[in-house]
Amino acid sequence: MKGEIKDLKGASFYIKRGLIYMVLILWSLFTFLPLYWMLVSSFIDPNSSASLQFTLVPKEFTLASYSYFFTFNKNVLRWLFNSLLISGVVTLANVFFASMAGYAFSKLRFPGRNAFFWTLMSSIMIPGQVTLIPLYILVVNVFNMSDTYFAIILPGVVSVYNIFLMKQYMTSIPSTLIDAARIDACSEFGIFRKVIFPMAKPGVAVMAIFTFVGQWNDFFWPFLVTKTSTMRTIQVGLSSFKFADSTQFGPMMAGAVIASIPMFILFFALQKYFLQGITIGAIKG
Amino acid sequence: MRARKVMAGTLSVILAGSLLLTGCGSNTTQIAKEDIVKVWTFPVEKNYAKNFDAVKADFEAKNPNIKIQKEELTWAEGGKKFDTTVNAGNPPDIMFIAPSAKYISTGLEVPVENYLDAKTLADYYPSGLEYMKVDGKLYGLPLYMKIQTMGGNKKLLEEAGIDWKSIQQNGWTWDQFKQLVKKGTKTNADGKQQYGFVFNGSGVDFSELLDHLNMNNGLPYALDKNSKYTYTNPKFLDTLKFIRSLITEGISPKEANQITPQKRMDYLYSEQAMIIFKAMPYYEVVIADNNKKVADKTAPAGQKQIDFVLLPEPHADGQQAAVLGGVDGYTMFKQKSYNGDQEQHLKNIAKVMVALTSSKAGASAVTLNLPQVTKSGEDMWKDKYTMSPENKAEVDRLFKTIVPPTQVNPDKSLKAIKIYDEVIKPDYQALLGGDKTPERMFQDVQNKAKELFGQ
Repeated sequence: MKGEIKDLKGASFYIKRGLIYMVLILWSLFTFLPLYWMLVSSFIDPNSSASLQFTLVPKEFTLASYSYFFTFNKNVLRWLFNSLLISGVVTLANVFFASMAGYAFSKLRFPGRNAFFWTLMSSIMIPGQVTLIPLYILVVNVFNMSDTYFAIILPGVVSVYNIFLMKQYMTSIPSTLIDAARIDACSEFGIFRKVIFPMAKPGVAVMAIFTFVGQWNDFFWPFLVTKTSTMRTIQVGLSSFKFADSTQFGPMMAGAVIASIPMFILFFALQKYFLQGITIGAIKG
Repeated sequence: MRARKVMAGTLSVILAGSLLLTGCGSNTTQIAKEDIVKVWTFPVEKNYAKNFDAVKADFEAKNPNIKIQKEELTWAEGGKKFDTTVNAGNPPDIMFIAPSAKYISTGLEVPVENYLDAKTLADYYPSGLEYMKVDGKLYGLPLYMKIQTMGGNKKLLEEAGIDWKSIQQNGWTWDQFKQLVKKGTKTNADGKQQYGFVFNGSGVDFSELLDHLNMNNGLPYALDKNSKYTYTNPKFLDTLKFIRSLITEGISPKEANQITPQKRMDYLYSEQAMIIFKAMPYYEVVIADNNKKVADKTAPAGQKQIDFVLLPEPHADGQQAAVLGGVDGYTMFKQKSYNGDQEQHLKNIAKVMVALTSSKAGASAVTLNLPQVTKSGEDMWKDKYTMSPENKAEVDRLFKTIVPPTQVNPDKSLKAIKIYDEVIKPDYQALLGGDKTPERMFQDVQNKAKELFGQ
């Protein structure tokens, strides 16, 4: 019987499998290459990184670029702290507000719910370039928040995309659980806190990772609303390694490696939930 | 119970974060009697931050009621940030940028001469001030005179049998240039390809070569003195063909549209380029610094000490040799809604601009090996220049052939800028990459010009 199954698979099975694996391996290499290159470039000498020769096999290994990165500007650690603080607060605020809004839109019935939801949805279609200047006027000219943490954080406190994500996720949670909690005299906030939120953890984890990474990598808005070196984020700080006629490439890559560490930590910490979150729709039948 | 703790924890963190933010935000409170003048600048030269701070300290000591608030931008992103603030009606008071019709049309660029007396203006050489004018009005003050040209590796030029001294004195035509520079294209002893001519077609100001060669082909500016658009002239097509031929004939690298200014210098330092574009007198300083690194063995492997000579740009047959020059300096702006005595504030801005461009500020011109723009700067710094005699002589010669600025209609200037940004820049990159022919690019420019100028 076992032999028959083996025969049934035949050569075409192995060819197909081989092709699939080949595509996956190539795709992995394609994804991994920029990260590898960033890592390799960070271990070469800060001077030689500017040279024409471009190699994936490192000929030297030195931590000089890291040392240069940390001594280039006295505020380097502050830039990392700023990024961590801003990304952390924005992520927590999104977890809090977007999940509550998602719950309201998916499970509560109130007048104008759909109209309000679609109004929010339509705002996603407006490109960032269009809203940039009005937002700048509001934050800097009207609220006079230039060069403060508020200026960077407020526009990202809750995103419509996250509300949509949470609404979609929470729709899949059975409403009978909510009814049962109501029968047990649980308050509306209690239902959200004790029933919905624990069940929505995988969705929340996906949202948290996307929000954190998005905020951590954001360049132009923090660059636009800050003016002192102490208020810069790491991404804005990294751009100062680029001059008109030269780029301190090694130190810039060393900074990029350091800047990517929190994202790796976050991803691996939430990996369990993250994988559940992105596959839950796919395996539900 | 656990969920309650998590929720309470989350809320506490948000609250703590908010409180922290309130504490950590930079202090925006202004002392009522102090007028703060915001200046946005760039790393103009290697000592500029130090030079700026010295001028600032002097000025603030003499004018205790005026404070200068400096923000140093990066060359790569600074312009974009400035444009956003202009569109939002809230630009800085002073920006390191040339006056432009683009900003004048917003009503926020301010004519500086209304706030300066004749005696102060008399300190500036008129030739420098001319470049800070649009439509006859002075919108800024220059920091230094500048020229942009080409430069070469003396050793490689001599190896190729090129009489660079004669070229410095007599100039060269496009045909002569090609004929001579071809000799510099070869495979080096170490197996690396050496190019006769390397220019940057990527990064900051990637289309500069086109502007410079147009200038040397009888098309000094996109608009002539009658504000007529000139890039529809067949000479523009000739310039495009000449640039493309440099690549197809192997004189310049095929990847010209990927060569950044830094990479161009790498070609020079590793003796893979005989002549580079662009070059400025300041390159003598930059290259001397790199030579020291080569001597100390702190430069990248493969880099060599370079003896650098400035060269004139070639010109088309039958055309006058021309040099793109002018000034870099500060331009004055106001905000749409300024809280306070705006007239007094504008007077203070003008005062700051004078301090940032005259006498002590002339230190930057010395570092850059460029002429002073003020008599006070000339008196203070004339003995401090340390340029090689042959390059100094070349700079003096080149300054004689600088194309003077033209005062054009601001509305038409805006249209010319639009054609440059929307057609010429993207098409030029495609031309360098071989994705567009010179004829096709010329046709695109003609079409857009017809749409905007009706010609």
